[in-house]
Amino acid sequence: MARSSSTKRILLFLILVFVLIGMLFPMYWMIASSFSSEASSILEISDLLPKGLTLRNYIDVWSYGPFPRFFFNSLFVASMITLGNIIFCLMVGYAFARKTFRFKNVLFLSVIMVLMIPVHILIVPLFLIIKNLGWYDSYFALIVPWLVSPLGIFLMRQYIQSLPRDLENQARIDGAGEFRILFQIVAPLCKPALAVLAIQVFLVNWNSFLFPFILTSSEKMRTLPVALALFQGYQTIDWPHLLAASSLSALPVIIVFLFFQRQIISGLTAGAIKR
Amino acid sequence: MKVLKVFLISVLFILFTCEKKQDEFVTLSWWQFWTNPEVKPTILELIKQFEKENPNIKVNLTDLTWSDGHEKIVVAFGSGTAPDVLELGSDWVPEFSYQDVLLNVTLEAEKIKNEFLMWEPATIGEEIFGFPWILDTRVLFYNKGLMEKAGLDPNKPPKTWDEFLHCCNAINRLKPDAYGFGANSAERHRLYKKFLPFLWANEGRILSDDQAESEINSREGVQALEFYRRLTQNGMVDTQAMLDEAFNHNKIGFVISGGWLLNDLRKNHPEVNFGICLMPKPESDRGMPASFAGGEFLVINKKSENPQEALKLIKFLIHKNNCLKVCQAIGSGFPSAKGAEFDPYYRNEPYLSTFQEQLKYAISPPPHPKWVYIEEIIEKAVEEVMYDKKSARDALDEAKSEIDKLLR
Amino acid sequence: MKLKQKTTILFLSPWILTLLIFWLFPLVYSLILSFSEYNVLSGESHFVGISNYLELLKDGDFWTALKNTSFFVVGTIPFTTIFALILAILVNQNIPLRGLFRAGFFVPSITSMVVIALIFMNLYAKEGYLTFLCNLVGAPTPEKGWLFSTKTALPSIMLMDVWMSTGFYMLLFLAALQSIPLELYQISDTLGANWWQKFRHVTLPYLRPMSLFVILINTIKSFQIFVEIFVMTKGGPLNSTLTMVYMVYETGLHKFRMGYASAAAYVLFLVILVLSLIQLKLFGYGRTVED
Repeated sequence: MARSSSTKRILLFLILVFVLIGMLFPMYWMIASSFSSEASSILEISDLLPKGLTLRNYIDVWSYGPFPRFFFNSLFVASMITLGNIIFCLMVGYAFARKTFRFKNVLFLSVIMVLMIPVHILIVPLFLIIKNLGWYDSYFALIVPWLVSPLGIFLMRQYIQSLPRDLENQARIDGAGEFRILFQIVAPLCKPALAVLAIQVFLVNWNSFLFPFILTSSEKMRTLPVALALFQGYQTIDWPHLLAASSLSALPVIIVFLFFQRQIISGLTAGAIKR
Repeated sequence: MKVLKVFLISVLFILFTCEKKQDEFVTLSWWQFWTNPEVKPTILELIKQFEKENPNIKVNLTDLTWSDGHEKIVVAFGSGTAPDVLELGSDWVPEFSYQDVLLNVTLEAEKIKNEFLMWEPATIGEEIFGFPWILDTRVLFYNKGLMEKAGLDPNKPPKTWDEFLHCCNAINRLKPDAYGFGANSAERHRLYKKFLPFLWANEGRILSDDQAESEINSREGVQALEFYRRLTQNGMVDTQAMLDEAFNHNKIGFVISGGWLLNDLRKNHPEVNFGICLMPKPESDRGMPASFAGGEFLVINKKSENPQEALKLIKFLIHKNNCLKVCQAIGSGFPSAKGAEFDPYYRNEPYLSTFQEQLKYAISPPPHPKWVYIEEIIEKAVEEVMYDKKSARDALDEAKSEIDKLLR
Repeated sequence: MKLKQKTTILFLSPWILTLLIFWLFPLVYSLILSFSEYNVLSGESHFVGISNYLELLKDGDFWTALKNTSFFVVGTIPFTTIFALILAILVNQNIPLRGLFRAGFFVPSITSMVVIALIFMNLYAKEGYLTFLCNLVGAPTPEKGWLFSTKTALPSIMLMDVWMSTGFYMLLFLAALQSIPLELYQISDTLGANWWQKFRHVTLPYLRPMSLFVILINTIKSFQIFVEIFVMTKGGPLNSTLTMVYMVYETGLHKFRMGYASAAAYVLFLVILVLSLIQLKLFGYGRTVED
């Protein structure tokens, strides 16, 4: 019995390893090729080991235009939006999950509606609003509209709904205010969901292309994905440089992921101890 | 009364000084596509020079991307925030001209018309909406190494359709190591550019002169599409970007491509033994080596507050010497100014003379307000034939009736 | 009571403000546009009643797009959801290197779309690795390469989508698994429950809200499939990968018919809305674990 279960475990482990390789392959190829002097868009097995290791691509990319500035812009914008979402989606999601109020369904429908309508028909009117606010080509345009995401609200609502109410009720009996309940009782329990939210929001905004491209015009306000798109010349793509830039651009996301990924699991212990 | 007079005079004075002040300093916005590290510095340098020559004008540059620039331009016009000066690809100029968002520059253009080439895409009836800047076209690239391998004479690229097909077929037999012809897949807004040259070469036409009906299903049209089908059957189908890469890797014998591929080959793939030649003709004594007229145009926003200054900038940019600098940075393309081809730069560029020759046979689609739809119908017909859903005759008959419906 | 209402409104205020300032006008504006013939470039516009919607009904491309999009949704969501759930449960176990697995499975979500598209285009090429694999086992391969054959183009993109999005949904399930009190498993252990009984009676009920979220979000996102199409096939060949949002994009931003595009977008919205409501009903809207 014990033996069969351990062979099963080994088999399972091997399957997981196999899946992992499949998932990691493109990222691996991207990084490996970014150190190669002759990356191209035709993939050969032999490319898996980079030919002619060089840092040249990275040096070129880093010194092309104000690349550090683009990097900073993206980092600043994505971080602010992530921070905003963690706080605001928690608040709004909590209200939707736990409170009763008038027009609740209508308001929730509005959340879903913003998710459901293709952006292509909303671009022009949204652009007009940004312009009339005087925010065109500014950090405001890049940050403020995205501080609370419909997806985040939805996620937090679902997660808070699955939490037991006992702790909140207990705190309420103890005379705690709503804000204290939300930020001291509910928020710690939501750590796993908030971590997922943070990863998702950071990722989406770090990679966001369409709106930063349309809402800004100057080099000062350019974000990394827009800069990367501009790296592509007429009809041709400069793969070695694009891959180096993409690898650089993946770095912060990996760091953010690893940081918040821990929170997903540590939420478990936190929740367990509280109970 | 006197008070009123003083008031009026002072108002006029204020207005006048304000006006004057505006006159003194103008900020022009210019959106352009040349953002890659090889070309951008040249653009910036030209702007600096322009600002030096015109100290009252400051140029505000915004970069567009080839893949998504169209969206940004549409949103800008849709919300009334389009720039003063805008670079548009030759295929976009008619589309925007018909929407009445570009400044009619007929008067100015007429003055210099004889000194420049390729006005057709910017001309609608008697009116002109843009200035040609950089001319470009596509030629036939052939892989000498593969031709040799297939038992063909690498120094005799195909001149007629029959020869072309024969060569593609011979190389295609080397598969899977190599394929004959690199055929474009169903890429929207691109496939028609690949098929139409064959139609034009065979003296076929899309629309009649008075644009009252379509002539695409003529005998010439059907022949051209039938030939295109056989070409694609003797090769591989992929996107333009992948076809170019395949050519870079000695994977295909023939591809129709532009100056960008030439640059890439010379810079990054010196090992590829290739040549370029004019597009083949239907028969040695019939038709012509037609190709698609590409290129970049400069247009002015109809709502621009500084049309005079915008015009100044355009005239500066299309000036032979200034444009030549840009073309040199790009590594391909030609200034729209006549006579630029005699510049010493081109004398030392053997490949570019083929492009120059090809430019003489470069054709652009007939300007029509519903071109986007016509283009879609043509692409559908080509696809249906490529995928053996219909015969060339049936597909084009249907295309004609659909286009006719649009024209009505 | 009053104070309570006030705090509720305060809690909701971030969304209410965002909605009022940024989204309400575009939503209403585009809804009105859907009843007009509106040229986005020239700004010409006139009211045409429901004729855009009637035209949609007769538009072959629209039906193709709706069919392809529905096929995409039905063909990806079950796989994505089930794979994500299995992976989440596996990496939640005490297995060696689980941190690496968790991170690794999420990597496709991080990799840039351009790079992913490029790799899959190689994979799906006529002489690509997929064809190679098929030849090994003697399976039939398409004549023109997987992305350029009408029958295989859409399924190829669907496969890529499942590969790409599973990691994110795994993460969501992983987070939801953390909300299950460990005591429940201990109690079931003492009751002698097997793994299926534990899964059925402890794990699944607790995962219900998150499953609803995963399926709903996946439905919404899949119905809006656009970037992959835009990068890889542009709707071709022969419209076999034409999706609703790609059609909206072409109509609005290339043919400049924003009114017609808006009508198509609102039909898409209605389709998603109705399906979402059905899903909410099936999974029990607003029910919590205790109920």
